[in-house]
Amino acid sequence: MRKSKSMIVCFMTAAVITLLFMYVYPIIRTIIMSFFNVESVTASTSTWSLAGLKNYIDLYATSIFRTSMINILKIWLIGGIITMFFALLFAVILTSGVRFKNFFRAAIYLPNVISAVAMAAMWRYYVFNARFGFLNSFLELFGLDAVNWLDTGHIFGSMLVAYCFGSVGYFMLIFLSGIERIPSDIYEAAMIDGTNSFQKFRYITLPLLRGVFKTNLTFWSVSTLTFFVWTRMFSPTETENTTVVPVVYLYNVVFGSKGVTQVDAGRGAAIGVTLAVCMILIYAIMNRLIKDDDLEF
Amino acid sequence: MSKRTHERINWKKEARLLPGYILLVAWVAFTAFILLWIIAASLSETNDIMRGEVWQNVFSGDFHFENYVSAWMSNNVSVYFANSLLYSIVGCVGTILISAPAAYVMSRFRFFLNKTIHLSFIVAMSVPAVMVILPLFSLASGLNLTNNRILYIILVICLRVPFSVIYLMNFFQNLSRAYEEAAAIDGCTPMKTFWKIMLPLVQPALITVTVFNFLSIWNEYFIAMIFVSGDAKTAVGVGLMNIVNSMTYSGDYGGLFAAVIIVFLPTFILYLFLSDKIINGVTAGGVKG
Amino acid sequence: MKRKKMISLLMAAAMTVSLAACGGDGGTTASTAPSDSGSTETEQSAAPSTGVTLTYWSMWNSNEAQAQVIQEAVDAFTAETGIGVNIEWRGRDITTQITAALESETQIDLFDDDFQRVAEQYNDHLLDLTDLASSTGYEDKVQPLFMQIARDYSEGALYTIPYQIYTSGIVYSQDAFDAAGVDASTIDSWDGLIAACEALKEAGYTPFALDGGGSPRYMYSYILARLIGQDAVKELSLNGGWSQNEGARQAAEYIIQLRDNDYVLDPIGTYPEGEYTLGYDETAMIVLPDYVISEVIAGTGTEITWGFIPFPNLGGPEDETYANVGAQGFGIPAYTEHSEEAFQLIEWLTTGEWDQKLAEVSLHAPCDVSNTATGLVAQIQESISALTGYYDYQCGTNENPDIRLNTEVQTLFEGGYATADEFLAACDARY
Repeated sequence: MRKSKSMIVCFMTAAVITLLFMYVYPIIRTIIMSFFNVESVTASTSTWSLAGLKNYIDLYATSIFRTSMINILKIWLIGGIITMFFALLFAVILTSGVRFKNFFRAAIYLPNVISAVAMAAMWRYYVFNARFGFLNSFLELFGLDAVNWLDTGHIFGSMLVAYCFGSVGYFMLIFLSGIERIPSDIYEAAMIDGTNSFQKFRYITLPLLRGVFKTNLTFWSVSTLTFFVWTRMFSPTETENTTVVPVVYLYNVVFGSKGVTQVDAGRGAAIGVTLAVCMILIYAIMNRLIKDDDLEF
Repeated sequence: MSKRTHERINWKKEARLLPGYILLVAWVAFTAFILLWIIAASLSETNDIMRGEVWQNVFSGDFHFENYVSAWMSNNVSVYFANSLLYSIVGCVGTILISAPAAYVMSRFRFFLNKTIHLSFIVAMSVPAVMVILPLFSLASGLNLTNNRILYIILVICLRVPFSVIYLMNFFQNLSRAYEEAAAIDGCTPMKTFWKIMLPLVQPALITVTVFNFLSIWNEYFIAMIFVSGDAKTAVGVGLMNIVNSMTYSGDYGGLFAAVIIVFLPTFILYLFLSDKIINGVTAGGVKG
Repeated sequence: MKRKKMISLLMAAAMTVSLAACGGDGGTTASTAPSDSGSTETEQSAAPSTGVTLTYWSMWNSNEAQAQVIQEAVDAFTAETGIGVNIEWRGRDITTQITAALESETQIDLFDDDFQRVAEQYNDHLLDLTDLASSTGYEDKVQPLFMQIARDYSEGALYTIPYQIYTSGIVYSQDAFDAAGVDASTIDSWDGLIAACEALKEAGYTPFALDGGGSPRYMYSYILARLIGQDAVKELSLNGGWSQNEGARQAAEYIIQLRDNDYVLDPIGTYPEGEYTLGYDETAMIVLPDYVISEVIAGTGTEITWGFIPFPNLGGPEDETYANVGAQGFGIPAYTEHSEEAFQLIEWLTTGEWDQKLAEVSLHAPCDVSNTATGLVAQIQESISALTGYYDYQCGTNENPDIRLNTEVQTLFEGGYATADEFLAACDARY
């Protein structure tokens, strides 16, 4: 086939420009910014002064940032376990020969196509409502006392459950296609050997899903690290340390918010870099722990 | 022995399926119940909602459509809605126009930096938005382009290009080179071949990718909040957040739920028609939409 | 095939809607060219158009009562002066949007937000209004305390013009007090407060409403400031040392007393439903700024009679003539070319007829000292006139932006700490 240089240039230019404009330049500048004293995000570079590691040191010493990191770690770990558990469970159920598989699959995935703000509003203002909410009506049905699902003791858990509920569908689909890709002759061979279904799951399905797990964990990490809307919806009036996450803190620090009088874009950049480094670390650790196999996408 | 095992497996299969059904039905019923309740609440007066008498209210046929009218008109949902449509449609078209040609040449030709660019797109898909937002905002405000529709559209296009390129590359790779060879024999230039022959061949993939892009742009929140915050230009996500926040001051729960439903409907309808395509897209691509 | 048709139909419909919206939009936003911006307002105006159109970013939402009055006032302003005004209703999210907008010099001629924020946070981008205010004699017309506070917030310069002024204290339901036989004037000390609580509880009320939007901390901070003075509270907030502070311990013990005797709402309601319990006649009082009344009325449609008293003196350095007061405030960006017209509009809204109307719909005291009020608003106005000093919002516990202790105080109210010391230790653990 003829290779046309002009065509390649012509077809690639726009895409490469988006890459440079949206990713390469901003990432480099954010990294640089994190080592400078930059008060306002719009301040010109001439007003920047070198800060070395000061932004990072100050940041890590700030109690609300540490709280936000602990919260995001909890969301990542606990939420991850809950989400992956249900996603895998549903994927296994749906491949076990139930009827209306396509319907169930579509219904469970549904929350993923809805705006997160709308989803969070449904949970925050209906399901968890102390007065007329779903959960308390349900408790009342059994004669139990109403619970304030949004008080300091419950709000984080409530938010996490709501967030996981919406996420399960997506990860379920990935597991589902992973399981469906396992060649059926492996199961047939196992049948002949007389394994029961739990053994089949434990010794065939699970090991062959390693690569799928890795894919899912990567996506889970990407989506949880940028957790933002849910916190804004669950703590709308003030940033609370029960629900604060790094991106919310970053937004407050860079753009100002209730009661934050000093904006500090350099510190904001340091938060961004910290999150990106976490992402890379997670990815590297996962690559070491979970070896690829041919079922990886 | 074999007979007993057979019976036991059968029993086990039933026992295994029943809890599965229960779980599935419970999960889906819960989702459906919430949605129905929100719809019912969107047709009720705030006082009925507060008293927990939404169902009674709806079953008595007392529909308060004025919630929708007030959400649509005075709460600006009509404006947010039109904005989001504009952003989504122009964004989707722009993304395809940029990604499809790039995906094609990247999957077809070896050239300088091809591998690097490919890898960059993959990495770009997992770059958190907070890593890029500060310099872009500073750039935009330097050029006085904050709260500007065109800039926001450019940003969402840039946001969707990496995913679209990677997704489409898989499809171009699977096309036989015979098409191009035949076209070349007929004297068709490579560029013309792409637009006339190759692009139509991946139409199913284009539709899938566009649906994903549409959903993603429609539901985009973070960048819209920073770059198009004004009431007149903002998108549904940010707009809905504004409504929710103001609702807590005005106490208009009926209007709040009506706004939630209006924002929810377009993607829901799209999903009703295209759920197979969307689901196949997720599973085949294995990439976050 | 059918499905495809459906999609293209949908797409086409979508296209039309969005195009129509764009077309309609150009007229109303009118942020660029002055030629097309006179638009609808000027057509019906009596005064000839000046060709100037102000852009006003408002913290109100267009469906709020205040917004409706402001819209009326602005229409009248345009008719009177020929100055067009284009209002963008931003809602309370203006707080997170305005900094970015000012930094990028978005075309805004005036905006409003909490006046302390306007004076402290945005002042780099704002015009000092001292000259404008003195040249029109504006200052002689309005509540002097609030102008003074506006200056205090920005070291003598005047970056904001306060309006929708509020004070705070105990907002109560007169109906509940009557039912329980409580005379509000007996709440002049802690013991008086406890006696009132007991009577209310016996009458079937939960004495204090609370909500998760910050009202527990508001109440705790008020008690704390009354015990040790706001400056000491600020010191605590900044540097910690809660466990060593007798006042902080005393305040926590007071809260435990309220909690153990079921004098506070349990469980604490979420925001705003917690405060709606006042409207449902389930609770009797709340410690918050007076604006809570209009929120409760809007949310519940209640018709109870309201009352207001200052928070009692608890024997500390600051007595009941100190209160957290606040206001919304207008600001004018330094880069606008229409600052005089913008100030004219501010004066239009904050004095005379429209100030009176705004005060009436929002149940706030009027800014204009020559405007008079009746009933509840008169009680509030009177209490403002009696003030000798003021507290910041949250009475000093907002001093450290990174450590607000919202969670800790709310947990204290919820019964999460058995003793005051546990609570204080939890506070100190944050430093």
